[in-house]
Amino acid sequence: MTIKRVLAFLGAAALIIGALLIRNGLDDHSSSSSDGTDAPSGGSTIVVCSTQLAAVCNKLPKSYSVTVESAGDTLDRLSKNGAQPPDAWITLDPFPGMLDTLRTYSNLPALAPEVAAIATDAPVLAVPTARNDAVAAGCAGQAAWKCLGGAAGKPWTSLSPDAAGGDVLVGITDPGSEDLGLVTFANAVAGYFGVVQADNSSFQDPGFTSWLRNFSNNVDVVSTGSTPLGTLLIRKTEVNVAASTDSEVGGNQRRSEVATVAASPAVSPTVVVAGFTARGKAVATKAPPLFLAVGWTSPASPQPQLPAGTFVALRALWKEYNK
Amino acid sequence: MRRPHIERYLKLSVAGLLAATVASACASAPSQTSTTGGLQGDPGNCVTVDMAISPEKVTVLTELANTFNDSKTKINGKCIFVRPTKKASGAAARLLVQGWPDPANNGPQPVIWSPASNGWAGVVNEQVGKVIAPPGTPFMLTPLVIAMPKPMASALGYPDKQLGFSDIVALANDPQGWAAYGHPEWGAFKLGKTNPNFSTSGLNFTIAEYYAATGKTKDLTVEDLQRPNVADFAAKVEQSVVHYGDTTLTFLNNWYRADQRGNALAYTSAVAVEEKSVIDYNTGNPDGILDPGEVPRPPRDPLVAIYPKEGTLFSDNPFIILDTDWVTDDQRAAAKLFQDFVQQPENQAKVLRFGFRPGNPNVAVGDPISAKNGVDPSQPQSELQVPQDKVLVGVLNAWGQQRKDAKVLLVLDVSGSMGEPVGTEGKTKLDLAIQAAVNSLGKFKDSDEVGLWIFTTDLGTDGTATYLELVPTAPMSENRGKLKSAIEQQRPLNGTPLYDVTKAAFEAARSAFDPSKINAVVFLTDGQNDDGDVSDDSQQYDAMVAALSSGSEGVNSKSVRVFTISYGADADTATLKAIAEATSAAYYDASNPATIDQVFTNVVSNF
Repeated sequence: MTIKRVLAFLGAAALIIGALLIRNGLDDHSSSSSDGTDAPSGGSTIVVCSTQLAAVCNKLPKSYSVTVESAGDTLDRLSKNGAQPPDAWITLDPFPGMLDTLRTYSNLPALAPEVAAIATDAPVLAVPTARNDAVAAGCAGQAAWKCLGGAAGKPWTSLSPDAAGGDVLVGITDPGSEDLGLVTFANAVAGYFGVVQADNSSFQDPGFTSWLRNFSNNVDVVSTGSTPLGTLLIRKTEVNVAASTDSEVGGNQRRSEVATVAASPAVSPTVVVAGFTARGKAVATKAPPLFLAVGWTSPASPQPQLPAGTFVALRALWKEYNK
Repeated sequence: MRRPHIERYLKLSVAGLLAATVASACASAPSQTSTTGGLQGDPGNCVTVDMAISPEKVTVLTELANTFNDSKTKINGKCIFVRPTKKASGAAARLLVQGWPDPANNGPQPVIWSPASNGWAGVVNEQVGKVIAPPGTPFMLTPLVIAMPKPMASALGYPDKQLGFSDIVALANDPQGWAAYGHPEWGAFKLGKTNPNFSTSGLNFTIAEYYAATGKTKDLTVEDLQRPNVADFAAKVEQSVVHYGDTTLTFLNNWYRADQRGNALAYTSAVAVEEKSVIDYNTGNPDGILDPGEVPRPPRDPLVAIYPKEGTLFSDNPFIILDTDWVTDDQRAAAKLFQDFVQQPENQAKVLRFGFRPGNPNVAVGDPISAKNGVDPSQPQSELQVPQDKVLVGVLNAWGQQRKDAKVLLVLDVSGSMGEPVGTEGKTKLDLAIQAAVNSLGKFKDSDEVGLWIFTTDLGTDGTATYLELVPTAPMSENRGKLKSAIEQQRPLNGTPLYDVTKAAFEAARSAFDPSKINAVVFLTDGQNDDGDVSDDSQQYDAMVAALSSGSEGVNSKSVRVFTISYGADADTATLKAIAEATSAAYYDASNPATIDQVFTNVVSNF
């Protein structure tokens, strides 16, 4: 009996050890691909989409794996050495160009995505209809951004003696982190100088620095998840001049409650698809209808137009004034 | 770059505002804040999403939760059960800082937190040292307004004249009172405002008061607060206060009851409340909670909301999905689904129906936020800037000095039943009450006058007295030590002559009435009326209520408020409520003796 028990025990132990060895071998085999790198993450196309465009990006077919991230974060991440780009990046012009500009500054090779402009919109400033007369009276003959940006934080009566009480409360998205915020800031600067592409050296102009200091000190940067227009509609005591677009205003059911003033000269927000891979480039054919469906329009030119270097400088300028 | 006001908001004195509010909310609530009810049961095996919400929105969120739970929405194949629980903002903030201990007593650990304002998230994150409460998206808003009976507002020029804090202050400081506006029958101007250490409405009004004193609408400084003319201005405003307190619902309920007696204009002239409360009041539901079978009846004299011309402050009700270790991925995802549900236009319409302004910019402000309910959807036109943290602390400190003095008679039950043991540490009910009463003495300022009676049967040298005046009412600068010593010496004795002593204390306070102070009796008892003779109980009760009521009616009455504390499980709750209501005060529930210290803190918040 004793010998039989010992043999049985040894046999059982051998079976267990054998099973563990086989299992271990299977695990080793399945945990890495043959070339030693991580296995690819399935067949979906990896798309990074800027926060401001997320509502549209999330309507892409399920075969696209969409990650929403602020354009500034994507820019900062991809401009570092060793960064792995997604298949496609949906953002506003000229963020992909800014990416390679920053990489060049850092002596890194350009990622050189194929950039296609797929939709554009008209920048506007929205104000409560009751404030429209004050804007018309106080900003006559001036670019809207120069006028209202300069009035930020001041009483409405500084624009028009007949205006209702309260201060001019300008709302924007964050130019330091959001693509639409930076385009808005570019519009404000263009409004000040009266030209779309101001010379970087003019940023030192005393009149401009004074205007910018007032603007940056008094503008309300709305929190992620809301927009200046949305904030105006739910709380016009926090924002009563909202950086917005034609499509956003036109798509809101309460559009009759606001009046719009066109930004001029205008830096139009233009959606671009930066394709880093072949399947990423194909996103440029899938996404446009989604944007057109919510009021964006087809761009006159399929190629982006804005100078990336200027935008890099504008972003740095904003950050300098908002340390 | 101007950040949203609220992000700076309330990052002040966690040692002050937060602690006080916590004490307020942790305590058994005053009678006005009844429990929610109405939430349907967990069907089981669901992903439960607990939600801690500030009390004023419990009804609307319970309705939304029920609808959502019924919608059979699933997360990873599992049903979702959203369970709102009301928790005052400051109390929830404190619990989150502590890791939300003791769910059995504090309520379940929340997945979603919705305080009255986003500023509380900043308080929590600052204290914890990391972001566990990310900034939440506001899903409904309501501004601070000055509520006033329509006849009174009209006398001031409403609605043609835009009114503000400056008008209120001028009226409060006018020795003629309402006679200056052709209404001597309304007596002096009386203001209702909550204690800024406890209540967001009270804090907001106090901030506005100091802005009005300086003529500023932003950039209030500590130096501003220290100017003699500012201090004088604030002290004069405070002089018009009826009493303070931890919740605006006390004022609204008292106002409504006075209105039903045709006497609303005598109780108070104006109260600082949220816009939503004006709508609730005017629809006959002053506390915003309809109990089963309760039929709302609009008041005789409706309120109107005055949006101060100088600007006001908002409660923005953020929806915060917490980033804490007790929140699972499934719960987080389920909470997000509920958030999306709440933001849907049809649900934002429900939010609106409850008197809040929608947080979805696609949903327009409309009925019931309309003129017929005394409010104006086009207002306010401007906001006051929330001061910097150190200035907020300065506001609270300044208010502590400039608030209206109080003259309070503490009446303590030392009947035999107060000797009953409580808990496992050998303490009696009286032991805990003594400790709480002694602790409360520190909350009075030196110029407050406080006295002490004890009551039970068979007192006095001949054994016939039902109460003893142990410490005559005098300034706390003289009385603090005497009161502590006298309170600590008490031992449980005999019966509970509740009716007689209540009447006697009220009449004694009225005979010593000081119009420059908040005159009040704080009455603590654990029992039913028991003076050894049941035959005259009914007569005694009627005489007591008649005395309290007649002495409290009329614009020129010597208003003595009797704040009652129902202590332990056997107290005569109905009588104590009736006493408080008859004097337009508040009843406090300390049926769990362990809460008596917190309840005393809440009671003293009225002064």
